[in-house]
Amino acid sequence: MEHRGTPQAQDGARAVLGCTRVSDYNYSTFDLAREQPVFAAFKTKRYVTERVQSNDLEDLATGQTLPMSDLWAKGLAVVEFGSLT
Amino acid sequence: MDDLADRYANRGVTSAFVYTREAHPAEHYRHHTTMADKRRNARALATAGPVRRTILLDDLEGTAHHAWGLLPNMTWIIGRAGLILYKSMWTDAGDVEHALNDTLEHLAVRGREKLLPFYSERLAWRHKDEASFRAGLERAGPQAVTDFYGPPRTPTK
Repeated sequence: MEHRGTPQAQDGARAVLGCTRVSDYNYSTFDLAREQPVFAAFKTKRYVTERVQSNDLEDLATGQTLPMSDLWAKGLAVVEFGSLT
Repeated sequence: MDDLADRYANRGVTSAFVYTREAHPAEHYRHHTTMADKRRNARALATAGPVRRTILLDDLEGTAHHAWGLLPNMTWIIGRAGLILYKSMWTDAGDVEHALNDTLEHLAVRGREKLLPFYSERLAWRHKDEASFRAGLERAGPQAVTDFYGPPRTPTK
């Protein structure tokens, strides 16, 4: 298994800083090497004890937009990020 | 994680699943080019049963995903006023529950027992479930398997 050296991997640093295009973010091919710097950066991104950013998200069931802060407005919130794949 | 959400809902804990980009896009579930793509795959996740919690869609650019760390399956516990209480680069229900229970127990008695919070870090452990992971890749399609493991080996004479 060899994932290093692909064009996507060369964009690893940019992935850490943030993808600039929708097609960069929604890649069509998984590349493990591209993910590695993102995992490394997670340790130093947003520490426990800091206040988190509230983004607006779409409720899949209702189609309504709601601020993430609604999740923790009345108590603790457990927020998992993921996808079907 | 859904079972955990059910168990803690009556203790004032709100649980949600934020739908990001496809981590392993392939033939059956392609990468998103529109929000309709994202909604369709998210509905498949809800229909297939792995997630019963409220599913919230990030935008097509991944604005929230970027802001929160960009990892494919991270979990956070957030307190009132948006204070980060727990962050984990992988989702492990046992680890999340341990942190959640510990937080709830200490918050409940912090005044009476004069507790002060402090910051700590540690390395957590989870079981490696290669079969389930591979099954997830296969559900996405052959490309996902090849992207992760490399092309199938051809038999040699």
